[in-house]
Amino acid sequence: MKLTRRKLAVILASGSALAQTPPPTPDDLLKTARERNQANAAALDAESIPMSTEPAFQFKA
Amino acid sequence: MAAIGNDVFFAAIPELNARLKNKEFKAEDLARAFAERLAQLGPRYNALALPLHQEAIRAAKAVDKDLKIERYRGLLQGIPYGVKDLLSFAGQPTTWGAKPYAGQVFDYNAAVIDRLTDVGAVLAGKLSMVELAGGGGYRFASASLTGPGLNPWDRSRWSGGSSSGSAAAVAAGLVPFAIGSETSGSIVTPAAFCGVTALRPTYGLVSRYGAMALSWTLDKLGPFAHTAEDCGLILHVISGKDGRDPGSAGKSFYYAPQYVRPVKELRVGFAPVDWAEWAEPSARPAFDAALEVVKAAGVRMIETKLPLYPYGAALSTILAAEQGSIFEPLIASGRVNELADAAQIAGLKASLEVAAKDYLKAMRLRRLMQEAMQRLFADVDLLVAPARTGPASKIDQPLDRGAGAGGPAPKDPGFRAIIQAGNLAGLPALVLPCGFAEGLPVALQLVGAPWAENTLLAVGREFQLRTDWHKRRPPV
Repeated sequence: MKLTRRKLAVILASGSALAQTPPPTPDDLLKTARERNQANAAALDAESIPMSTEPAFQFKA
Repeated sequence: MAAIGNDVFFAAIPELNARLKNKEFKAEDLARAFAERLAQLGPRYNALALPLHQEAIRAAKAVDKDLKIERYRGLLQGIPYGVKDLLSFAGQPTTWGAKPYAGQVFDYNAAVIDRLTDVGAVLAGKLSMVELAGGGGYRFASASLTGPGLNPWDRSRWSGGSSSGSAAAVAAGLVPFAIGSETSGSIVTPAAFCGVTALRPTYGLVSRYGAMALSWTLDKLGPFAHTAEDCGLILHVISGKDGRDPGSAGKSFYYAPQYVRPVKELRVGFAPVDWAEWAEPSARPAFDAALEVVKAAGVRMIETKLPLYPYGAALSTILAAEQGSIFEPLIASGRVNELADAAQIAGLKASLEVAAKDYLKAMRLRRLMQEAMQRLFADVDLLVAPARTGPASKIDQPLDRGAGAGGPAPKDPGFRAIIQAGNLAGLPALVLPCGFAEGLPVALQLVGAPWAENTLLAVGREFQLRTDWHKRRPPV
């Protein structure tokens, strides 16, 4: 059977393949969470903001 | 005790109130029937956090005394309800759905509970939720002190989160209405998955005093009920200025859909790609039919799209920074490790590391997003989109896997990020059940400009006059 990338993706996404994958360790999950935060920061950095734009909260005296 | 028929458990608020006034049953009968049903069936869906049977009976007896002397307090008088367990009720546990707070007791009531008590509504129980309303980002439906929220339509499916119990309890007829909260999707998602009507109010309209804080600038409280009209009646009561909530806008809401512009004059924005490509194939027939109903109401449909911004990144950064600060003591104490979801534990720990510059950049971008949404609402009166792209996910499915069709994502984002955009801009949203896919409910969301709740409710009422999806009952 010729294994195309699409078929491989289907197999990898199947329950049997997942069942064989060891669960992520706490360190793995922390690394993933940090990478997610970094990716979010990078997405924000890609946006240009006028210098005059104030944050969307107001301090009330 | 008067007989309470099965129809009562799914009746809308005006009908229940009318039957109370007509003395078909007493408020005590109604409270007893709902409290017993909630205690009996709530655990079946992992929807019940705390039964308040005796408190409900006591409150209902006081209502009966008022009704006897014709001291009427409005349509919510004598109507039982439940609240998400992030709202404090004096002297009773308020767990926030999380093991580290399982023994937590406050000595004051949340503002919404006091407001509902003032009009004679009867608190019947506290309802389950995803731990800490999902703060940190959970990976599995089991992220809750009470176990995974099970969907009344199919218990092998998730009820959605984080207001899991609020949606499931209303769907199963365990309470006529419930209060939930949304930071980003926690009202919209469970309402859509369980097939109930729900309203996310404009930011600042409902006091959060006595509610767990997850994000000061994003948190909102709102109702789950059987109809759009019920949501309007509840919002009428729970809205209003509260100096104890720094986010309170100082505005009230008066339910008066009759005074909004005629539905036929409204301009409704939509993105065809949401319906043709983003919606899961199994749900497309239901969504397409629902869109036809909206069009048949005579509104003017306008193709439009969400202004392009990194909504997800901005929301996640703001939420991470604020929740990190709020839950810093929990994280620093190590008790965060008692949470049920390992990904959520990691997410909370990592949230302490969000840089101030990233938080401020997200908040400055949020200002631009808000302005862009204001411009969008110059051209349309409301937006319509699928509330979620498909039905509820399987209970053991990792939530970060998505339930999509598996093909390549459409290039046009349409309103795919409307939940994040709507929450960032503080916009109100109304969720309307609109059909079924795979035997499970799916729903529309109507999103409006700030303070446009009456417009959303008027369209929602019109939609529910033309459909009966909101009247369908799960096989309880």
